[in-house]
Amino acid sequence: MAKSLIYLITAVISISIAGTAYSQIYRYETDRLRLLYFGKAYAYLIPHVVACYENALNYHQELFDFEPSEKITLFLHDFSDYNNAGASTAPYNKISLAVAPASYVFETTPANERINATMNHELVHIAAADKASGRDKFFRALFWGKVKETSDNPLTILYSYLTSPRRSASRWYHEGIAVFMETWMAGGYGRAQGPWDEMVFRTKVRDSSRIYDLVGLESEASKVDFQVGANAYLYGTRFMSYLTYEYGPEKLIDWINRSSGSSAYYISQFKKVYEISMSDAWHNWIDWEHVFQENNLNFIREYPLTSSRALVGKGMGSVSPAFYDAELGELILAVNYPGQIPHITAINLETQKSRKLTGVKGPAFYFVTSTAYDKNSKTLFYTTDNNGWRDIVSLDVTSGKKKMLLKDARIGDLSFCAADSSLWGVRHSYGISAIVRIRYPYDKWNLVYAWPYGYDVYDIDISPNGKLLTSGLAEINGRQSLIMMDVDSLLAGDTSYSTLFDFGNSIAANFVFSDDNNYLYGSSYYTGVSNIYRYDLANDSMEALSNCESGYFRPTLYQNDSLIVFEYTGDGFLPVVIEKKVIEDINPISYLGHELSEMYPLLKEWILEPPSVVDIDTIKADTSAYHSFWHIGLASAYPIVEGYGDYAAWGVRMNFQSPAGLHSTHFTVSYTPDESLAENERLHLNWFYRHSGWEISFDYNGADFYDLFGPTKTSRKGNSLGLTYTKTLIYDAPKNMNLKFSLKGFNNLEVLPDFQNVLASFDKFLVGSISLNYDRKVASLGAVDYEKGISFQLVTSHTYLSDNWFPRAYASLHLGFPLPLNHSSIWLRSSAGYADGDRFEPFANFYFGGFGNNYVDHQTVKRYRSNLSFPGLEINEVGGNNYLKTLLEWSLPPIRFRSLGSPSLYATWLRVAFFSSGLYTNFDNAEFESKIGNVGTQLDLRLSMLSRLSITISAGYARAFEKGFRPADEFMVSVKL
Amino acid sequence: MSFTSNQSNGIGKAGWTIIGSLAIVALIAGVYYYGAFPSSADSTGAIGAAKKYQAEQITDADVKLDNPELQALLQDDKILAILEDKEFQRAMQDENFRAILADSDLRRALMSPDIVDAMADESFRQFLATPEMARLFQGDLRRALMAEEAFRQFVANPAMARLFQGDLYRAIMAEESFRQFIATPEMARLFQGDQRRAIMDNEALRQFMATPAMARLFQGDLHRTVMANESFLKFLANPAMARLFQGELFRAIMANEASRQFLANPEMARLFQGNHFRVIIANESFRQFLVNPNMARLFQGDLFRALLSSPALSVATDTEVFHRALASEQFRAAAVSGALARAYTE
Repeated sequence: MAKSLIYLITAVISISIAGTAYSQIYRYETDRLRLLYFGKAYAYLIPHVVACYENALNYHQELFDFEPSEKITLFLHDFSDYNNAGASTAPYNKISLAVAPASYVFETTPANERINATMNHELVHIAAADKASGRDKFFRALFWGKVKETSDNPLTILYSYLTSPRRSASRWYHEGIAVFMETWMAGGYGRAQGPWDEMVFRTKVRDSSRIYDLVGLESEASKVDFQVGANAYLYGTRFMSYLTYEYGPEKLIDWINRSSGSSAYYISQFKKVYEISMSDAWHNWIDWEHVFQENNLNFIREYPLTSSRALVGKGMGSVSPAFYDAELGELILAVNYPGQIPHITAINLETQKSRKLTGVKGPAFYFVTSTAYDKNSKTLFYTTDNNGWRDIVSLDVTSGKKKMLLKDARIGDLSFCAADSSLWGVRHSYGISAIVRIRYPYDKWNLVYAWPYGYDVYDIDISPNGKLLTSGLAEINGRQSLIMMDVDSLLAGDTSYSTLFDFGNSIAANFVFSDDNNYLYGSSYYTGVSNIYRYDLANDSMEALSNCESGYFRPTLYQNDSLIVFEYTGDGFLPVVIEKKVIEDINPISYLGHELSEMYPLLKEWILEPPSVVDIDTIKADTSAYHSFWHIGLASAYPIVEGYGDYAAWGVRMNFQSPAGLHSTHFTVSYTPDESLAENERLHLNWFYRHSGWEISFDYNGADFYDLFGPTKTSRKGNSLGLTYTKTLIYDAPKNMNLKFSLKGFNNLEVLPDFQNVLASFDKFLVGSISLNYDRKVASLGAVDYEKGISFQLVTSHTYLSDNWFPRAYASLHLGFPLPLNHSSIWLRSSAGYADGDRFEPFANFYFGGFGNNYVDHQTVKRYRSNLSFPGLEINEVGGNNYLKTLLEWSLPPIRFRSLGSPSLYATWLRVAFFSSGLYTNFDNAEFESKIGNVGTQLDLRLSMLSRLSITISAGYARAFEKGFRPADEFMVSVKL
Repeated sequence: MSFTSNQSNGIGKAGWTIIGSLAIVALIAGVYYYGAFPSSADSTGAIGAAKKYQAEQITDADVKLDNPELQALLQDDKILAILEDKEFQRAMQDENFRAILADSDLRRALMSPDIVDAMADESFRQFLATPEMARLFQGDLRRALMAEEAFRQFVANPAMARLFQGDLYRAIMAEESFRQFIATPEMARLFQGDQRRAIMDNEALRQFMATPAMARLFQGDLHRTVMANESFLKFLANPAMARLFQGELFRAIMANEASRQFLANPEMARLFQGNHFRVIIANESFRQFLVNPNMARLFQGDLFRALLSSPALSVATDTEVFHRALASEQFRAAAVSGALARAYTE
């Protein structure tokens, strides 16, 4: 089957042109859409993407009477191995969409074809946040666009609300309506009729566990529950469905729609439409949910429930596919639980003791990592970077030794073939699902079969004898089936398959072969509850093996007469043992979504026509090269107030940006009217430009909003022009490393740019610096700060002035260690520096002192961690040509507030840290050396305002002491916006 | 006989027994017929399917894609390896290659059915894959040869086409004595000057000339036509040709079974006869491109051989859409824009 050399050359060329030219942005621009994409390799999707976009936009235009305020920019990319998307509306309407196949894990996001479903969902976000009433339009005209809040100037919080008030709504509101609409636009196919959502609330009612109120959902549930941010989707969708149940779908649209006469704030609009406060309605929903789920539970209980024996004390959070090794007597799996760094563990089933094997880098939501196990070599294969391009790693579970096998292979759904020790998997690339095989020694993968677009395979398993492959198959119309293929035939190019069982639109999840090759064990929500099923290959029959109340998943081969399965609980998945006993009777549950469809036929009319109704050929498109620089436009302009020393200045800021945000620049002009200030200092200018790694900044008598709230001042008399370039060397989350080059010239300065209390010896100078920065820090689910990791920085800078050079160099190293206490960690932060030059030359010194926080601030809260801070001393009080400094910090677990405040302003957490540091300056000269120590503490209280803005109130105290001097105390209070 | 009050409803004990028995039979029949676990979510039974509203869904026909067949190629690990191969990347940066793609005549020639059919043959693939061919592409000899107008005319000669097509030719090429003859220094000198006598004294040649195949050749019209052909004579006089035939390389090529099969292939004859081939050979850029050392190394590699046998490639390139894609202005513009080269240098 060879083809011509010529064809080969030209074919490969066309593909390579299509393939990986990620450095270039391609465009497909119509009257209503600016589609930008990086890779020609997935350009084959463009007709379908455009059709889905046009179709969904037409739909939302009609339902919400919505016209986008400007053309929507859609970024199409393939930067992750699973489908995901996001939308924003300020300053411009923008959607980002990954083309990869969806994740089908636990049927958390049922959907039909993914581009269609995602587009429907994301455009709801645009319609809900972008649509403007007359008042919004007035302010958009006044401020020349939709203002996006920026910490540089907190007045933008107000401007943002005035121009886009519906952006200031809780995440559950936005996600709830988007999921609700996406379901009915797909004819009932979505999370509003999803089994996972039903299970979550059914289990809460069964366990009498908390269904969070409005504030608790945001302050606690979305942070500490093992489902974290997914709670916004769960609660939001459920509440929308409940409102529809009680009041009908039209009222829901009236609430969401920012129509003329509607209230700006979403909570006020709720009261207007439903004539009841949102808090009361929410409580009503919780009461109603209890009744609804009790009915379902009673229905399930009509038949005997499957008894089980728990293997550990409580739920383990998210879990990966697990393996039981009878020789070791251990259950091996990966877990991700709030408060603990995600890791692979082996649980001894006799002693119930766990041994932690290794961390999992880049854990996936819900399933942590994809795993496969070789019992003979005791090797676990697993994936890392699950939210990007997946790697495959092997781990010897007895020695703990691990090895990176394939970097960025993009393969998951692993299965080990015991017959030939090969590893099989599903690769996601350019939107296609492909079955691949990786033969020993696992250094490269080979394509077995690439499915046509829209056909996704998942949860594959190879029979122990290596003859059969089973998998779940999802099709464009949402149909899910369990299929089987003959391995030898498949390898020979015969891709035919047999359908073992059609579960309708319920996923056939995690079906695995028995050791004797005769059975398959898996789970399905066939009855609305996830139960365990066994497929008999010889008899071609499916049998139920469980009847449970919450849900059973991931059957794992255990003993001849029993299985290990994972039971869903509020704390995550709990491994339990159940008997292999055929169940004859299981009652189905009622889906709230189904009931809605029966009560309100209007929901059935909300179905969207297929995207093929859009005639792409009639749409004119510009596909010329896209140069974002030439698309920079005025995004917004608004009045500002700034501080210049102890004076106030009034002015305006103008923001310019390209639609996708690749180029952004802003100009600020302000004036101090106070005549006591010298005339040549009254005008203040600032210009800033950013593109990719480049930044240019200019200041003329630079002012700063936060200087209005001293004591830290960043405003400076004089002017400066700076150029910075940051080159990313490593970008492999959570690892990243960059090299930063900076050159800045100053003129007419009176005090040093970095040290406000130190007079400059010369007013004209040039500073060049190079810094190498490395970070690898991780945090567990529900953390408020990093809990483990390492970061370092190496900096060299040279100041040139008056024909002299003043070089300086410094380095810092931060090491963090998690404590056994959840969310608590110890950090050791050290730095050292050396400057060459006269000891009394300000440019040849480092200066230390103070917490560094302003009364009102926008920089980092934990300023005491920075190299030049030293709480207890005055700002810049102690200087030195050289120095050594170290800080030991203990961060205590945060106290989370379940319900403190109201939806528009509430407290989320409070955290205390204790620290102690030592500073040694001028260690080369005993006459000038300083040895100073301090101890201190800082308390931080995080608040959330208008759902979008985090405010942190900090209070700190430190005492500094030095031999021969009286101890000095410092108190700090700061509000960070 | 009287009935007891049990029969006051008109159905006696016997009657209930019959009814009950029938009910049990019906139940058994129903379970047997419908099964306790229906395979469709629409039906109900002992394991009840939960009711979910489901409207008619979009289908495959509702999803319009642009040349998905090309996309399938990118899933193949062999294709990806080629794309990532540094030799290939360097070859793709070749200016001559870009010029080829800019030439519309050449593009059309490359895509002609003649070319396609000829190149589709298994013998061609094997021929290309030989190490000798790789070395051939690499050599100066090749460059010189391809630069010759005489050669181009020679291969375009219909007589040559017929020659290559015939059994006679195959028989000649199979002759060991012929191969030895070709390899002799005298043959080389022949092409450089008057060395006929030396050649005729050559034992290998005499043996060859005595073969029945040669007899038929010299007796035939074909021979007369070929030998009368001006361009053929010029071609034979070409010093480059002399060097070619003198070299180990040529001998190795001729000795190679794959080469013989290739040259004997009727498709190849049609190929050489066609106008498209003339256009290709005449194109300076194409010639320069083929002699690019990077291309040589590429063709020499295992990877390339494996790639040629890729099922995905054959499927993907066997389509009308692929042909159109290659002919598209967009493709050409992209190729000559240097975008590809830049992509692989960044």
